Amino acid sequence: MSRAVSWILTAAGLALLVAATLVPVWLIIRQAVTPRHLSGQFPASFLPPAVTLEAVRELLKTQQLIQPFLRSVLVAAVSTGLSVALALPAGWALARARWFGAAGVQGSLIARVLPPIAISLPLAAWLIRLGLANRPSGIGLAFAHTSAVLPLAILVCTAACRALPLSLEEAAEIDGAGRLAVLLHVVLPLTRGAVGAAALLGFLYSWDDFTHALVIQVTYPTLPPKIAYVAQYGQLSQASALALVMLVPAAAVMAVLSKTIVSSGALGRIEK
Amino acid sequence: MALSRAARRELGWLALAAPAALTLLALLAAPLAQAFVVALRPDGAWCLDSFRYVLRDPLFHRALWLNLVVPTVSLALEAVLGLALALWLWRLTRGRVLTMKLLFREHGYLNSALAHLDVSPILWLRPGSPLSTGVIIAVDVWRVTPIVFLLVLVALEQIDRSLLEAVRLDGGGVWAEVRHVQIPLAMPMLGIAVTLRAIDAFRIFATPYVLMGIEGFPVVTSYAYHRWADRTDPSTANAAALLLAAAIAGVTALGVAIVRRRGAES
Repeated sequence: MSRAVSWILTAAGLALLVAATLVPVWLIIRQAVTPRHLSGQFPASFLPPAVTLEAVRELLKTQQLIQPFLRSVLVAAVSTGLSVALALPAGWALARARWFGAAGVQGSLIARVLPPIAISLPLAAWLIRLGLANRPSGIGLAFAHTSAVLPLAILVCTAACRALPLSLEEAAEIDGAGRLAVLLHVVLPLTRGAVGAAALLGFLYSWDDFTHALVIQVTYPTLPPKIAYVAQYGQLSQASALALVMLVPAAAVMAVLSKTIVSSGALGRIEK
Repeated sequence: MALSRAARRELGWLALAAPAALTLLALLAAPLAQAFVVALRPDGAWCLDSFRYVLRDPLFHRALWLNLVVPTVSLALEAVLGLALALWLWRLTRGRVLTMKLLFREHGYLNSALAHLDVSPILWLRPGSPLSTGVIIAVDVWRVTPIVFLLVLVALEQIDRSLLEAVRLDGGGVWAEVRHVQIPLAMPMLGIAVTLRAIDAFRIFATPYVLMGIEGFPVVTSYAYHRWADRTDPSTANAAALLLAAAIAGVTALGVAIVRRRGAES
């Protein structure tokens, strides 16, 4: 293959990738800013026929934007925070324990295999009884997300702790530090990167989850079921505006995460 | 009875792991056990009626069929496309780290944009059209290929350069490098990627639910949700969800076995 041909192929391939990434996002933007009376136009143009922010304004006026957004943020923050706080000590213990370390890792892997619907249906029944389902704060949903994020966080933290040299912990122990002190002052600072990666992965899971949210937050939805609802029963332009709002934090998180992945090759290890 | 030092250490580790373990017991194991109870005791007596009902329900048959077709075809396409993309870009970009960074960020956007994407552009397609299965598969492939691509690219990066040089010294061209070094050595990672993806692919729900509705394009998760929400029949809903869980467990076990055997052979 000549140089020129291979260069053209590369350019074409990259253009294709960029298009596959950006065109759909553009279509969402286009749909979100198109005025309602023009949104049914056929054939639709690539550029919006006119630009308006009425979709966002209507969402704000009818209080359909801020609340689902804040609820999504809160649920993601609570489930991720809870998961990471529990996963680091557990991951460290699984990395160091002789008798149950392997079993714990296997258990976390099995937990990853369960489909969300098999957990959310029975969990919802209990949450309803406890009065925790469908709360405006989304606290019940945060618990459901913890059931999925915690096993993943444990796997990440175990992998990170296994890579730590034992000598540091032993030195701290000889100096008289207890387990919790070693965890806080030796293990945590050394595994900050992995803990951060686990938190970002957990945040993305919670942010994107549809199944648990649909079952548990019936009338106080997070963004994904809210978008599905508006797309089905409301204006497509409003659904697109909601989708854009949902895109922003996820994109920011992915940008940070991809940097971590590229610099450390961590994803291969995490996913293994 | 005095415990040995080792046993005391082990108890200490157990104490550290206990909060997470108890949380998972409460949030995962207990609901799963509850699902069995609900499915097996529809009217206060133990029986298999719910499973029998689900297995005879025509809507479940459609859901099961589509739930098989979509993951199988899209996994195959993702594996081929992911491998091809990774091989291609690995070969054609010299400043790999920089390009990877750019590409991953785009793929990152692409990846997270997916869920939102379900909403607007493809909704224009008519539900119930013969193309609908293809559309759902295409969306799934578009969404997931970057993940497979990323994993395969990591695998290609880890291949020892001296192997490639050995092929070149033997007079082999680019194609020989691809066929005899890169594809065989990337295979284990592709196996892992496909197994991971299979776990997620069989949970397919949001894409067909949003695009075509439960009756328009049923899959097993939406069937279970339908029995639960629209028919208020938790028993059959849990039975369907458990059947899905069993199927995914089987597929995962199969994938792990294949990856292990391949790993042992090489």
